[in-house]
Amino acid sequence: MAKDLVCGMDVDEKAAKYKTLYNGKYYYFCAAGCKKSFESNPQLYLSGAGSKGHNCSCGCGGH
Amino acid sequence: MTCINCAHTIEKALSKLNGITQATVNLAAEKAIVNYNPDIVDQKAIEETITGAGYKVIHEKINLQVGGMTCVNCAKTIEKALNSREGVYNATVVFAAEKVAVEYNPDQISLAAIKKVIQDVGYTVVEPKPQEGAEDKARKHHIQRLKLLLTASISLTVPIIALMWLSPLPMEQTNILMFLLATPVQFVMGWPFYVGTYKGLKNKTANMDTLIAMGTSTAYIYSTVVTFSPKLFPNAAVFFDTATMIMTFILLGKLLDAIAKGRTSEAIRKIMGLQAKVARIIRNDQEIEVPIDEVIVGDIVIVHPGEKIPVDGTVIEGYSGVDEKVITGESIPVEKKVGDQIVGATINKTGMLKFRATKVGKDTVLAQIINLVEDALTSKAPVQRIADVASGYFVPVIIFTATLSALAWYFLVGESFIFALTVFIAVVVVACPCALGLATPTAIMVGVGKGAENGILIKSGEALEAVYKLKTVVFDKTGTLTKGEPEVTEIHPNKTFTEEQLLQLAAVAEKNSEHPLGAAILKKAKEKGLKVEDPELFNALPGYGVEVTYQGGTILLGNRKLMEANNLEIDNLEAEMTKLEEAGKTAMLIAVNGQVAGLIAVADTLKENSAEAVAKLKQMGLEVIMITGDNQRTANAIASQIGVSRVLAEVLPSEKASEIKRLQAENKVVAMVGDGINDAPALAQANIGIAVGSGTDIAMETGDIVLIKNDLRDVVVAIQLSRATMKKIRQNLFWAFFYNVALIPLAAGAFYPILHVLFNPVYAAAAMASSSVTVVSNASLLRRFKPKL
Repeated sequence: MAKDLVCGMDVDEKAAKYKTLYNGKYYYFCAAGCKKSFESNPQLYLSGAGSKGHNCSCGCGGH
Repeated sequence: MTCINCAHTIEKALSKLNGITQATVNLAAEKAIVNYNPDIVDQKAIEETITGAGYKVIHEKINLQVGGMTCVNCAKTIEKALNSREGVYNATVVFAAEKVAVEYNPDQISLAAIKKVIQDVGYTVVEPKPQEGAEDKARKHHIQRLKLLLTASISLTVPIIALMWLSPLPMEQTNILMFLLATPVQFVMGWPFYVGTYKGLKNKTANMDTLIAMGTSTAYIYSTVVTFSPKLFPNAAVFFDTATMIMTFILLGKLLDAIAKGRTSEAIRKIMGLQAKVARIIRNDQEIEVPIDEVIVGDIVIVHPGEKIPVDGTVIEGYSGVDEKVITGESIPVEKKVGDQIVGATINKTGMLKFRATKVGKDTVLAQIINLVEDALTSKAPVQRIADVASGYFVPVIIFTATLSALAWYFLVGESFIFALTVFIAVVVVACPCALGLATPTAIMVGVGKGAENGILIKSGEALEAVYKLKTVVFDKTGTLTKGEPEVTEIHPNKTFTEEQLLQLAAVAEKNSEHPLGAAILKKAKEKGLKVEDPELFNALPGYGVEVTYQGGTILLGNRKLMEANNLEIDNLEAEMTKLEEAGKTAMLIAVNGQVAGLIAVADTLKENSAEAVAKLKQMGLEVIMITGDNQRTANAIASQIGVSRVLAEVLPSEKASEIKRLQAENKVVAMVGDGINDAPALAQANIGIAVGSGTDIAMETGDIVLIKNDLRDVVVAIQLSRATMKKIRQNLFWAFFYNVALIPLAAGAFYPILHVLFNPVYAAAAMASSSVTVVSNASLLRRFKPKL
């Protein structure tokens, strides 16, 4: 399982609908909003400072 | 409404409403069709529901001028009549302004019906009439005034000459009679020259008015003294005829000049003549023909094949090819379907079109073009300013020469006072630099008009002047030299796929992408008639490409890095890919289910005439430079295709202007050719900004020269025309000076000792008038200009 770096949720790489590539590495997301947030500032989320946990606005409700 | 969801939201909200049997929303047409029971629910409730769901019901607004209202009650009558009609939301009459503002739904009530309501209650709707151009009106008035003054001047001058030659009365009476006739000419017809002189003196400059005022006043005052104090100059002749004839000739010259000026703007009138005279519109559910001025925004206009489109609008019904040659110069008809914009004065070729008028009168594209040309006509070229400054020096020099010659004849040669005075007047009058003032504006007017005829709008005289000195032409690459739209140029599949299969898979991958390269692939697939389905999953991978799931498998489309990230080897395609990239193309790799399947190359292609235009410019001795944000390799590839030797690559849009500045620092007069939006700063920085764009573009505002047609050969034509115009200006300046300078010695009496003929001031005035005519006719020769391509 991979972690959605934006909302902190666990995502199955195989079944993930949303993913992106950054520096040659794949990142997986639970929703389009998380993907967008990550793409707009990947460094922020990679450093861990951007993760908002269950309060994110991705619409997944942290689940 | 932005998406299909919005449409559902509205449908849902409406169907919940009591009394609605069916509600369908068409997203594309932005319309909701509602079947309802008017006993239970009314239109207002339906609209409130739509508004409540977060959308807007569009109302059209129109202001109508109403005639026949005598009191406030009339206003109330109109308001009541209109407000009771279905489709009218709100009608407010402003009694004082005689206006009624109507807010209505154009699908329910036509504008014509609204007007009919007003007429039915007994009032008239005053259709706004387009105003005659203020400039045109002023010119007509000016010509009229000059004609009147000239007629008066002639009818006073002829008797003076008759009295002079026939002398039916004793000399003293004759002189008094001539004085009476000459005085109004001197002070009424001559008044503008005194005003001009006064203004000039106030600014410490001398102009042609100074010369005329001085020359004629000298003749007049001297003659008056002779008439009333004959003892001072016994038996001396009077010069009343000279003064009046000079005035008459100058008035004639001014009239000819004014008429010529009117004539040179013929090109503009020619463009105006392209407009249709009548329009077929629907009013009261009937097709009627009305003069074009009566078409107002919102009218439904019908154009049959072969007819001219009267005003600008949006097609609401029909499909046809439209010949837009008058606006764009492109003679191949452009396809027009529902929703497309059409421009007035273009010709409907193949099918019937029904459209809603969006711009009429002074707002149409055609009217805007005419405006731009008119603005250019009133601007001054720097060479004209030089002429103005020169004549400022010229006048004092002439007065000095005239005084010196007169004094020399009187004191050194010992000629009579009258002789010396004649010399003085002759010199002052012949030197009048009025042809100098005409030299530049007439040529510019013809040049600009000629440009307009060829789809080249020259917006300032400065641009004309600068083009003459032009050394370097800088072309923006994307959208200017090239079409600005990438096209698929190569499809290179591995053995396992055919070209079509590869293209289809690539198209599926790019179906939901917003990338311009993706659009090129989809376009190609459509051209080939391939069926492109939606992928199950789509992921854009910024900086890499796209990854989609299609029929359970995975398609990857992107650059080398995308393949690397997926551990895919591209060895066998590497050579091909490098080759394509060196040719300035963008190659995209495609992998299907973990196997590299091939590559597709996309490139921005050249416009048809780019290479020809560049070759022609080089032949004309100009340096041609290409400027682009692309990398050096891509830029060089394109440059070699069109024959540009100097390339400024990897230039950010913000740096384009500073690159132009750098070229100017090399002491070059630089023209920048761009498509006007992202190139705007560079267009402004260049000595001449040449904007390429369609007539409807904002580009028209940016450049000094606007090429209406999307054809770079017009850069060549613009340069040729500017050069021809400047050549004419120089010739004209020569002719103006030639007359002035050549006749001065003659007027000063330099040939008197040989020919024993003194230059009569009257002939000086005639010569001066003819110099003006020469200059004006020389300028109109420019009308024969034909571009050499």
